[in-house]
Amino acid sequence: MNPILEISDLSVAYRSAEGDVRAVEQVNLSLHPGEVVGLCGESGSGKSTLAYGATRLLRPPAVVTGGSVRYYGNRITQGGNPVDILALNKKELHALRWREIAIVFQSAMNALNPVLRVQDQILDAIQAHLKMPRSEAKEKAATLLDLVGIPRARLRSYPHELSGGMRQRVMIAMALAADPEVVIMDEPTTALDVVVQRDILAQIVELKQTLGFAILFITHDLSLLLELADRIAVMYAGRLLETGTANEIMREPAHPYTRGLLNSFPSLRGPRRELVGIPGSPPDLRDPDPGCPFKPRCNYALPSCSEVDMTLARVVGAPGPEHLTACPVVNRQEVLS
Amino acid sequence: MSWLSSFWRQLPMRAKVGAVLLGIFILAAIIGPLVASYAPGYQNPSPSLSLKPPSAQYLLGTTQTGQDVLSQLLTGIRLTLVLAFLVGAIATALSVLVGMTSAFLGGVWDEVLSLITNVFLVIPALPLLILLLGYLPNRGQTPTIIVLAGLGWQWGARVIRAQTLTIRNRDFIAASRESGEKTWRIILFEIMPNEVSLIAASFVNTVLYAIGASVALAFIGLADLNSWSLGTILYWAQAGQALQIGAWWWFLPPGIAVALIGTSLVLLNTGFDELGSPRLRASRGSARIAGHRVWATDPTPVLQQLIGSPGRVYAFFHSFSRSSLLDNSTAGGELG
Repeated sequence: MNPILEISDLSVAYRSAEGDVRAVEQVNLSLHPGEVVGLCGESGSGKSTLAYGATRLLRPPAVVTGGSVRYYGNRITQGGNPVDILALNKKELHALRWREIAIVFQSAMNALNPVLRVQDQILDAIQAHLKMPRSEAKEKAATLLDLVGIPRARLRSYPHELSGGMRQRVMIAMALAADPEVVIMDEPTTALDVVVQRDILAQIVELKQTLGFAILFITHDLSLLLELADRIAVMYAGRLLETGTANEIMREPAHPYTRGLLNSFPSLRGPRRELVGIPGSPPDLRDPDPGCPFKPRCNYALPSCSEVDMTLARVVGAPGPEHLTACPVVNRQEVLS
Repeated sequence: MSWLSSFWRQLPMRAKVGAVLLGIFILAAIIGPLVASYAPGYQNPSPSLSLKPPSAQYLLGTTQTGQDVLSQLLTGIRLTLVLAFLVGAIATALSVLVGMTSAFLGGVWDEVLSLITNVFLVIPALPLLILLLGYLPNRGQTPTIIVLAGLGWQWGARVIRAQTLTIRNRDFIAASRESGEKTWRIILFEIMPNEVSLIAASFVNTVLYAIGASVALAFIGLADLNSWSLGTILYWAQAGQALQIGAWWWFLPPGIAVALIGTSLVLLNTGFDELGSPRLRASRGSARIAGHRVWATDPTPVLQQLIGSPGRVYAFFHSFSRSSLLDNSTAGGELG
C-alpha cells in the first residue's frame, strides 16, 4: 500500500553565526493511511524540527537543506503523482495545511486565543479551509465538539473557562475541522496528568478509527507510544536510530539507545529491578563527529561505529520486515546482553 | 565595542540611514562654525556681491546684504541642534519623572500628577509659546529652552505612566520586592530597562518637536535675531523677500536642512523598538539564506530551491528579457 506521507532523506538545519546546527539529518520516515507513527526522543533530539520542517512551518534561520517530503493524499493528487511539499509555493501550502495535514500544538494554553470564544476559533479554522455557509459551519463546530466529548454548550465558553484537558480536546477538534488526512500531534498530552492523558489518548484512537486519518505522534514518553502507536521511530541527535512496530520495539529493542530508554522506566509486572539511565548527554549538533551520534554514550561501541553511515537496515533475525536500525553492532548480529 | 557593532548590524536599514544622516548634521554642528569661510554676519560692502546665485566662491550664494549663505547654514545648525537636544533631554527627564512617579506611587500622587499632565495635554502649545516669548523681556536661548521643555513633556509622561502601570503589576516586580530590593532600585534596574525604547523614542520625538517649534518661533521673529540658527536664516530670508525675488539659494538650504534633520530623527526612531526588546530583535523580519532574503512569515526555505532560483529583483528584470521566453517553453514541456 502507498504511504500517505513519505519523508525521505530530510535534513533541516538552523543557520547561526557559528555554523549550521544540523537538527535533522537525512531522516527517512513514512506514514500510511490510518496508521499511528510515534516519534520519540529526548528534548532537543529534533523530533519537532522534523515534523515542522516537513510541513515547512519553521521560521528562518531554519532551512531545509535536503531531501523530499511527498504527500499522496487523494484530494490533492487526484490519483496522480504525489506532491513534494518542499517544492510548493505559499498558496499551494495554504491549500495543503489544515485541510490535508493538521497539527495539534504542544500547549493548548498558548495555542488558543484567550479573548475569543471557542466557537469563533473553531469557526475560523473551518471557514478558512472549507466553503460553507455560517449556519452549516456552526453545526459542524458543534459536531466537532461532540466528537471530542465536550458538551455543545461549551461553544460559548472562553478558553480560561475550560480545564486543561478540555482545552486540549478543543485543539484536537480544531485539528479535525477540515477532515485532514494526516494529523501531527506534538506532545498533545505532556502538560496533563495521567488520568486525563489516558482519556484523551483513548479519544484519539477512537477518532482515528472512525475518521481514518493517519497520526504522527511526537512525544518524549516512550511508554505512552508503546500503548498507542502502530510503529515507533526513535530519534537521537537529529537521526533516526531505530524504527519498528510497537511490539518489536517493546519486546526486542535493537539499538542500545532504545534499550536504554526502555530500561529507564519501571514495568508494572515482574520482579523489581534497578532502573538504569543512560549516562552522558547528547552531542553538539553544530559540529557532529562522523558515524553514530550515540557512540560516546554507548556501552557496546566499536571502533567501526565512527564510520557507519547511519542508514537504516533490517535488524538481523527480526521476524518482520519493518524493524530497522542504524546500529552496526546489532546488524552484525553480535550478542547483546 | 563589539556589542556596539553587533547592535549596528541588527538595526533595520531605515534606522541606519537615519543615524548616518543625523551623524552628518551633528558633525556639521560641531565643526561647522570652524570651517565656515566667512563670518555668518559679515556683510560684504560691495553691492555686486549681494544676491549672488551659487558660485565657486559662494557655494550657496549670498544674501541681499552680501552674506554667505553656506557660512550662515554651517553656523546655524549648531544653535538649532543644541537647543533641540537640550529641550529633548529636559522634557524627557521631566516626563520620566512625572510618568514613573505617578504610576509607581499611585493613589493621591497619581491623581494629582495625572491631572497636571492632562491639563498640559490640552494646552495649545504654539499659541502659548508665542504669547510667552512675545512678552518675555529677554529673547535669548535660555527662555526658549525652558518654555519649550515646559510644554513638551506631557505626551511622554502619559505614555510612560501607562507602561509603568502594566510593568509594575508583573510577577518579576513582585519577586524583586519580595526579595527586599529598595524602591529606587526596582524603578531604576527592574522597570527602566523595560522602558528604554519608550524613553528613547520619547526623547527623539521631543527633539523633533523642539526643532519644529524653535524654527517656527524664530521664523516669526520670536528669537534672538542677532544669533544664527536655521530659524533666523529663514526669518532674514523672509524679511528680505527672498521668495518674491526668486533667491531660492537663500531659503531652500535651511529649509531642506530642517526637513532632513526631521527625517533622520523619524527614521532613527524605528530602530528603538528593537533596542528595548531582545525578543523583537531576534524574531524581527528576515534572515539571509543562500543569498535570498527569507521573512519570518514565509514557509521554511528549502536550500535547493533557493540555490536554483534567482532573486526576486533579478527575476523581475529578467522577465523583460528575450531569454525569459525560453524559460517558459521549458516549463510547458507537455506541448513539445
